[in-house]
Amino acid sequence: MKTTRSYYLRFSIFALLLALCFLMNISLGSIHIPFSDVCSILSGGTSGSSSWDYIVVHYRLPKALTAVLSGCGLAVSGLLMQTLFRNPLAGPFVLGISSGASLGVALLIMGASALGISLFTSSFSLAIAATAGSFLVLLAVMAVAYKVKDSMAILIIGLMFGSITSAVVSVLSYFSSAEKLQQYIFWSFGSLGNLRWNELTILFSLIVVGVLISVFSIKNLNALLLGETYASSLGVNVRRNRIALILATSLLAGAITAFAGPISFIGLAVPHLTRQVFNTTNHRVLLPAVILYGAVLMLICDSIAQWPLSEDTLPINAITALVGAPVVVWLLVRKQRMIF
Amino acid sequence: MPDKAPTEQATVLQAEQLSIGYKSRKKTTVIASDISFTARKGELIAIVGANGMGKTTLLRTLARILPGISGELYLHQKPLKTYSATALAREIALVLTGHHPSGNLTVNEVVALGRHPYTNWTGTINPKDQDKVDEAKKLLGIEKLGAEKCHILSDGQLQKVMIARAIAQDTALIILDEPTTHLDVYHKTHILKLLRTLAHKTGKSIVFSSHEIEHCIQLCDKILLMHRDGSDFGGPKSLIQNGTFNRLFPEDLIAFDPKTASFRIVE
Repeated sequence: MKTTRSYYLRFSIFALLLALCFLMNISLGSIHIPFSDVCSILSGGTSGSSSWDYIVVHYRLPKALTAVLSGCGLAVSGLLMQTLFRNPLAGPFVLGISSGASLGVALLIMGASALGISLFTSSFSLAIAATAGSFLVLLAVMAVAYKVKDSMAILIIGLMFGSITSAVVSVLSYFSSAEKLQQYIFWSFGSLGNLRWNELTILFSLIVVGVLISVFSIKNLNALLLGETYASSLGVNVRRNRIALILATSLLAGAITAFAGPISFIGLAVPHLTRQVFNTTNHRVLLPAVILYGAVLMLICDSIAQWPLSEDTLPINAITALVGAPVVVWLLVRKQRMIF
Repeated sequence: MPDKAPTEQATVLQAEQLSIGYKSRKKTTVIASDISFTARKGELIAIVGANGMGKTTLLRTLARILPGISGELYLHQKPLKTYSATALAREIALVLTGHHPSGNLTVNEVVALGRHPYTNWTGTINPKDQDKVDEAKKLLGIEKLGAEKCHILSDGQLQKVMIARAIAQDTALIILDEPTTHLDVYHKTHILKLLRTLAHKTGKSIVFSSHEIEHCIQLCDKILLMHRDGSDFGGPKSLIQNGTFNRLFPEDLIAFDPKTASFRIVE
């Protein structure tokens, strides 16, 4: 369509922003590495200091890529859920996926010790527990999605799954030691810096599959803007489409929660921010736009999390909301009207 | 196309002894039964009846949103249930009441969504699709609207956009559920006259439900009356001669006057 052309400028600006934020994110950290050296390491050379090389290649680059991937993935899954449920409050975790992951991790950290078993809790075993937890919730939601006719019912059922799992987590926390509790809470803060290259490859593949399903759903997503009855009168298989969208969301949100923890807010906010900037609900524009916007916002949040040049990184989960929420409020107040 | 007598035209949709209602695992609720009618090419057909007589349920059954309880529905002489979802989308277009599209879709985007059953997997509108979209907008007289968002349109304009979308879908049959609710008497007449012109001009069969009985008598080729004792189908004149309109409502408040073809309050 000819209208797509008028978005080229905005897409170019966002692509440029993404590149800048990516470089800024890698240049910042607890150890000061000059910008020129960062660039030379990224372009395949060395900076002359092997520890700098190591930090950039094995720590900062994977972390920045994790930020990009999780920003994209969460934003896309948030968009899918908001369109599927025609609800501006929907996000990647409405189906209870993060609650499932939390339950898996809580069982691993706190449940095992409560039973007197001591399990080895590395970041990789945490990822496996989170994956198992979110996968179980996913299976339950898919079974419901297949049976139930109304999408709104799925939304409520997802919320109920969330309540049940968080109740179980509360019970577990009540009986666990301070040390275990702290370990669990640290996981729930979210962290982008735990991935090594091989884990990053897994995350990347899962995100690619999720985004591909979304790309193939663009046409049906646009039909869903008229409501499910109109969509089915246009030949959309509403049930199959719904399952594809839930599967994509689960892959995206599940993979990110498994590797980086339950990162809130990005998935809910980015689609709204993107609609404000691009002023459209057409998914041919929105989908690539939320991918760019999500990555940019996540890189900015991560940069802020490590801003004070200190040894510690602030919890990413707190930063996303601290940065994102005021922006959404400001945009809505300024524009006086929500685009949805 | 000249205004031929509609009976010479080919059958589009045919209902035989159709029962409609809702089926659940435990029980079946029949809302209306024994409905038979034939919708031909180029005919404008109204479904009228009191509230709760099953107009909307019938339309939903005709559009295959709901399964029928018993009886048969034929589309182009083939059972309706044999059509695939995509094939059906190329034969039946729907205009619902009260289902407003996301207000931030533009007029062009909404009308172009009618091309959904024909576009490739990316939903790209090719020049042929664009022609159909332009043609549909022209038929509805909304060619001046385009990049406007739907939330700035009036109810009447929005209804035209939704009808244009159904026209762009390029189907043999268009089903509309109460297309004139929320409109004033002038715009009601305007939309119904437009539907008649569309049916006669494009050769589509248009079936709609309505409470505007007096309008329908004047404008429609055929009327399906749904009342407590069953249903009657025919041309407005024969229905008036048979006194069928008096069976629509309980007779304590209003009565049908055949001379003026309108309802009078009983004093």
